[in-house]
Amino acid sequence: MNDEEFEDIRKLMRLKRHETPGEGFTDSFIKEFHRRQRDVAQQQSGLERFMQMLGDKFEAFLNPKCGLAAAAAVIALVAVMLNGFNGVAPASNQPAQAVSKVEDAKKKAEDPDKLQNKPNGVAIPISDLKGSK
Amino acid sequence: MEESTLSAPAVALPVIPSEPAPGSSAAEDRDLVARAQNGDTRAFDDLIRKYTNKLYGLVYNMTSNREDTADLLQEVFAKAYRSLGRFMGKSSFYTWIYSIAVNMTLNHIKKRGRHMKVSLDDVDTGIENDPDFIAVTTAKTGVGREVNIHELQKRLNEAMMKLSEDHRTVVTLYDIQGHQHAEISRMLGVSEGTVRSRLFYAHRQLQAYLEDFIK
Repeated sequence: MNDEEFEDIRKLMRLKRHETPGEGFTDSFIKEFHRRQRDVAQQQSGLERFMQMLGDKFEAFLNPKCGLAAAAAVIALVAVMLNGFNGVAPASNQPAQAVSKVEDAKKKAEDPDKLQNKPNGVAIPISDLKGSK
Repeated sequence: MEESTLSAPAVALPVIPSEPAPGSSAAEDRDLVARAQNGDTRAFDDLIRKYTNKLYGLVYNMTSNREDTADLLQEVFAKAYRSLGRFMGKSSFYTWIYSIAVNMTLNHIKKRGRHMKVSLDDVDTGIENDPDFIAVTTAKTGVGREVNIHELQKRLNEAMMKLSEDHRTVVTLYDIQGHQHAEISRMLGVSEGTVRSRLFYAHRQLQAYLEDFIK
């Protein structure tokens, strides 16, 4: 077991508990804490305090793992938005788009001035085709 | 005692009961936190008084620099004070403030990189009567071994500084401060398995660095 195997090392490391800051540290630490808080309150403008509060709140995003996740989310969002601008409808709109394409095709067939494709890919007006008969 | 001059933290939120904090009174902490959230600055002083030494040990053993430790600890408590209004009590105050201290210390170590300077605290006189010290300095044959305390302190700190930050953190929390695996896992936000694995590799490295002290 880890603890038994490394018991000697653990005994050595436990000796570090005897390294202490010395008597009176806590009292002087609290005095220093109050002094710093007073200074902060006097020196910081409202905007600085607001920025610090924001910094505290969103500090998690500065963590590399959270940062990666946030970056991935932003990229995904941008990709979705770009798709929207390029006119590619989401999957759920595809049937509606298919219906509108059929309607467009019908309108074209009814309009003699519209172009119709030949098998070789050269487009000529439908009226020309009628005249050639 | 000095007159408290702090202003109350922004918002007071209800404190939800959380897991007990071994070695400290969780109920007492909940009461102090609730009072501090309601603007009682003396209650926050009591929290500082209660946790300063423990957190000092954590930060000092991770940085091996007493000046940095005192400064970092001021920042840890300042941050805790600013954030106290948002502390919901989902974890104990004890776990919460330890997490803040660990994260801030790791950030500090990363910023400093290789430029970390070592400045060590004094070793208290109690070490000479510590059973672990007696065991280390006494050979198995029963013949006492000459060990200079300052040399030992220097070697222990050098060995700690050779570990990666993650390994140093678990050794500090587990071996030096005596926290349980589950507590450490909550403080660091990693699984207990990860804590055990880091401890195993850290112990193996320390064993190699301090070979001459454990033979």
